[in-house]
Amino acid sequence: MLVYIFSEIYLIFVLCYWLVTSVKLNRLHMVWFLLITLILTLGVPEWDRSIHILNLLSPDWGNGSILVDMSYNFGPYIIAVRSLVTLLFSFYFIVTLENSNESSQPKVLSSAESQGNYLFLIILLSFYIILSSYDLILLYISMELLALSSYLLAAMDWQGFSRPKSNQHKTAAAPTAVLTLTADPKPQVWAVPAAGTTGGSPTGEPGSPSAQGGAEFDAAVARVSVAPLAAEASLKYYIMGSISSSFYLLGTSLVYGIKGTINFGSLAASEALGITYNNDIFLIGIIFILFYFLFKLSIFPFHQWTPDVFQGVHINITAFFALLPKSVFFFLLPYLIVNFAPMIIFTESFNNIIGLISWNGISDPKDTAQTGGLGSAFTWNFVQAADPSRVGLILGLISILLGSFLGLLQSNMKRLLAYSSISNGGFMILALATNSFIGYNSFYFYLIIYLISNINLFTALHFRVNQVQEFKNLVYINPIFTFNFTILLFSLAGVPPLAGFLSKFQIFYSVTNYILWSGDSVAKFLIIVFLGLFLSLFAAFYYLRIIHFFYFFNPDQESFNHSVHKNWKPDILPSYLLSVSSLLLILLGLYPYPLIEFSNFLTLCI
Amino acid sequence: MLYTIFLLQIILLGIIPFAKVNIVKEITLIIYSFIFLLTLCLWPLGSININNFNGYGEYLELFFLKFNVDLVSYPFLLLTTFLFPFCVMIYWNHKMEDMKGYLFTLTSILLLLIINFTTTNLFFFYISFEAILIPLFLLIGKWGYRERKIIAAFQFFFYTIIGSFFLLMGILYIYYTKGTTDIEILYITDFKVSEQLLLFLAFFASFAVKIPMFPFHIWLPEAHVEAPTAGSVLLAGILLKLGVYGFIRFSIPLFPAATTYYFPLIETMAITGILYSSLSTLRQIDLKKVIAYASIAHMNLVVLGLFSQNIIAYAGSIFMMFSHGLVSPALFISIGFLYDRHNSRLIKYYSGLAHLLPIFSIFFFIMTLANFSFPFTASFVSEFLILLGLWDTSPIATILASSSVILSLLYSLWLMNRILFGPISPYINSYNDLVKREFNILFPLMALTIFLGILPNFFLSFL
Repeated sequence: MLVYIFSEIYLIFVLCYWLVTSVKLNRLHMVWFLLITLILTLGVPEWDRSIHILNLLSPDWGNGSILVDMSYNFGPYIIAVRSLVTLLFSFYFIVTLENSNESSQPKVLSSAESQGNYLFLIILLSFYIILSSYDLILLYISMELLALSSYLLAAMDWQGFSRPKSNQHKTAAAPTAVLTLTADPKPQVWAVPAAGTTGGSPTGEPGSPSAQGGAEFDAAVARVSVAPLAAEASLKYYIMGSISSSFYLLGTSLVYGIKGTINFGSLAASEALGITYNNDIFLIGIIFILFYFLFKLSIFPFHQWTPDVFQGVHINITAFFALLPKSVFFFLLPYLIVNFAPMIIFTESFNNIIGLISWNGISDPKDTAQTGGLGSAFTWNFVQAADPSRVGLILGLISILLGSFLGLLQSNMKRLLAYSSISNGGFMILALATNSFIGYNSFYFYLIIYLISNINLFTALHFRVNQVQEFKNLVYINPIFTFNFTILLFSLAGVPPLAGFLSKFQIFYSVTNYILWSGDSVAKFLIIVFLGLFLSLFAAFYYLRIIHFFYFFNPDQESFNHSVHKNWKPDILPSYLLSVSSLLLILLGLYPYPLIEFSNFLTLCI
Repeated sequence: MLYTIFLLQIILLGIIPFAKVNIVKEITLIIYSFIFLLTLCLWPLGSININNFNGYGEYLELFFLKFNVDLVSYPFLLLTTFLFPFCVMIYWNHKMEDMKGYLFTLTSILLLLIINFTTTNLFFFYISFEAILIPLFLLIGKWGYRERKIIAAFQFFFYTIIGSFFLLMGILYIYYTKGTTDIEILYITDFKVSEQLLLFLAFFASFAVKIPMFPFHIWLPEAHVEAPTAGSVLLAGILLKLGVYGFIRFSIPLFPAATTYYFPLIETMAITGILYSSLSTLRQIDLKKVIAYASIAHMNLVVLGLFSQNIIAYAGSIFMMFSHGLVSPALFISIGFLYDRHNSRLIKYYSGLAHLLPIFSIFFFIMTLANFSFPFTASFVSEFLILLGLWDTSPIATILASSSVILSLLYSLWLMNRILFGPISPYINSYNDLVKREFNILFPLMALTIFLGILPNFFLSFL
C-alpha cells in the first residue's frame, strides 16, 4: 500500500533533508533525484488494478465502495502519467542547460538557480498530488501549491545571479524583494526599497548580490532579485491565477452545495444514479471548475496571460511553463472527464443550459421546450444535435484562430511561442471535445508530439534570442542546427511529412468522425473542419517567417557581428536532445505506429 | 526496380551532406542518370488500357505502402527522371553558394515526386503533394536571384497549401465514409452524386491551384521568375503536371458524374485562362514571365482536353503535358544561360542575338516554334489532338481554344523576334556562345521535341 506513495515520501524526505542541510541544488542533484523518483514511480506492483488509498495503515481496500471517502487515487493511468511527467521534468533540465561558451570561468552555481530547483521539487510534489487526487479540495490544494510556486518562479531573476563573481556587469536597477521560504508552501513577500538593502547600486559591487545570496542562504531567508519585466509578468500571472482559482473555489462550493460531497467517486456514483435535482447549478459549478483548467492551459477566454508571462520571464521558466504545468493539466483533463464523466459530459439539461446561457431571459428549462417559435427550435436543435461539447469545439476553434492571428505581428520569439502554445492548446481541446475513443487517442498523440516539439524548440531557443530578426543567416553559422530547427518549425506548422501534420490530421479525423457519426450534415462538417484547417494555416506563416530569416538572406558581415551569434554552439547534451527530437519528428511522421500504440495504451488506461 | 530507385535516392540523400562538393556533384549526376535509365527500363511494351494494375506495372510493396507504376503515371515518371540530370548540369560550373544544400533539396524533391507519381494511396499522395512545398519553398527562397523571391516563395507556399486544405478535407471525408484511402479499393466504390459533386470541388481546388487555372494562377509568374533556373525547370516541367496527374488519377476516375457535371465550369475557366494569360504575355518585360504565362496557357489547354469526354483529346492532353514538359524547361534553361551571361532578364536588353550567339539562336528558335505548336514539333501534335477531340464535345470551346494558337504565336514570335533579330543591342559588350555543356543540355530537349513531333506514335502507342 505504501509502495504507491514511495515517490512522494521520498520527495518530501529528500526535500526536508536538503533544506535542513542547506544544500545548494544544482542540476545534477535534480536529475539524479528525478531518475530515482521515476524508478520509484514505475516500480509499483499491480499496475492494472485501480487502487484507492484510504488509510495508510489499513490493508488494501481494492476498489473501494462508494460509501467510503477516499482522497488519494492510483491506477495505471496515473502511474503512467506520473512517470511521463517525471521524465519530462528530467528532460527539462537538459533543455535548460546553459551555454558553456558564454563565460570562460567555470560556472558558479547561483543561488537563484538553487532556489529555483527547490521550487521545482515542490512543484513536482504538487504534480504528483494533482494527478492522484480524488477529491476536489485535495486537487485545489495541490493546484494552488503548483500555482504559487509558479508565481515565484516567474518572478525570479535568473539573469541577476548567474554571473560569475568577478564580472562587473550592471544589474538591473530594480528593487529587491525579500522572500521568506518556510516549509509552509505559502510564502509571504515583502518589498524592500532599494536604498535599504545593500544590493541596490546599479553597477553592483562585483558579484555582491550573489555573494550575499550565497552567504546568507539558509532555510529561512533568501534574497531574490526581481527584474522589472519578470515582476510584471509574475504579477499578471498571479492576479489572473488567483481570480481563476477563486472561480474554482466557487465551482467547488456550488458542487458541494448541490451534491453534498466533494469526492470524485461519490460524485460519479450519484450521477450514475441519475439524481438530477437542481442539476443546472451543479453544471454551472462544473463549468467554473473547468475555468481554472482552461486558464492554466491558456485556452480561449483565458489566454490573455500567456504572451505577457512568456515574454517576461526568463527563457528557462518559459520552457517550464510551456512544458510542465500544461502537460500535467492536459493529462489530467481527460482522466477527469472520462472517469467522472457525468460531470462534464452530456446530460439533457446541459443542453438547456447552453440554451439558457446563450439566450437570456428564460429561467425554467422546461418552458423553453414548450413555448413555440424560436425558443423551442433553438433548444430542440441543440438536443437533437446532441453535442454540449459544441462548446469545446468552439473554444478550440477560437483558440486556434487567436493563436494564429495574434502571432502574425509578433517579432519577439517568446511571445510567438506563447501564441503557438495557445493554438496548440486549441487543437487539443478540439480533440477532447469529441469525447470518443479516437478523439482521446488523437489527443494523446498530439500531446506527446507537442511535448517533443516544445522540448526541441526550447533547446534550440536557449540562446537568448529576443527578436526573430536575430535569426538572420543562421544557416551560414551552424547549418545542422538550422536544419533541425527548420524541421521543427515545419512540423509545428503542420506540413507533411512531419509528425506535426500527422497529429493535426488525426485530430481533424476524430472531429470528422464525431460530426459525421452523430448524423450531422455535411455542411457542418465542412464549416468546422475547414475553419480549423484554415486557421491553422495562418500559424504556418509565422513559422515560415522564422525559416525565411535563416536561409533567404545573403550573408553579409554585419549580421555576423551580432552578439547573439557568438553563442550559437550548443552544448553536447542539448544538441543531442535537439537532433533526437527532430529525428523523431521526421520518423514519427513516416512511421507513427509506435506512438499511436502508446496513445492507445494511455487511452485504454483511463 | 522501383525499389532500387528509392534506395538510390535515399543513399544519395545520406551521402550529400558528408562528401566534398565536386564529388557530390558527380555522384548526383551519375545517380540521376542511372535513375532515368531505370525508368526507361519500365517502358511499356504493347498497349494495355489505362489504370490496369494487374496487367502491367511495376509493383512494389513496402510495409503497408504500395507503389505502383502504371500507364498513367509512367509518362510523368519518365519526364521527372529525365529532367533532373539537367537540373544538376545547369549549375555545374556555376559559382553557386551552397551547392550541397542545393543538391540535397533537389534529391528530396525527386524522392517526393517519385512517391507522388507512384503511390496508390490517396493519403500518401497528399503527403508527398504537400511535402514538395518544403524543398521548393527553400529552393525559391534561398537560391533565387532577386529580392522579390521572398514574396514569391511565400505566395507559392500559401496558394498551394490553401488549395490543399480543401483536398485534405476531401480526404478526411473519404477516409471516414469509406474507411480506406487505397486507390484500388476506391476505384471500385461508388460515391453518391451529391457527395461526388462536393468532393470533386474539394479535389479540384487543390489541383486547380497547381495547374494554374484562371483565378489561382498568380503564384506562377512570381514563382517562376524568382526561382533559380533549375527551380523554374522543375516547376514548369513537373510540378504543374502534378495537378494534371491528380486530375487523371483521382478526380476523373473517382467522380465520373461530377466530371461531366462540372465540365462547363472547367471549360470556362480553362478558356479564360488561356485567353487571359496569352494576352497578358504581350505586355511583359521580363523574359521569364513570358514563358511562365505561356505555361499557364498550355496547361489550361491540357485541362480542357482532359475534361472533354473524348479519348482523342485525352490522349492529346497527356501528350501535350509531356511535350510542354520538354519545351518550357528548355526555354527556361536558355533564358537561364542568357541570365548567366548578362545578369538581366529584361527583353529590352537583348536584341540581335542571332548575330552574336548563333547556336543559341537555333535552339531558342526551335523551342519557340515548339512553344506555339508549329508543325513538326510535339506540341503541334498534342494541340491538334486536343482541338480535334474537343470539337465533338463542344464546338464553341474549340473555336475559343484555337484562338490560343494565334495568341501563342503572337507572343512567342514577338519575343523571339525582339531577342534574336534586329540590331545588335547596345548593352551587350561581350558575346559568348553556348558552351559544350550547355549545348548538351539543350540538345536532347530539342531533339526529343522534334522527334516526338515527327513520330508521335512512339509515345501515343500506349495511351
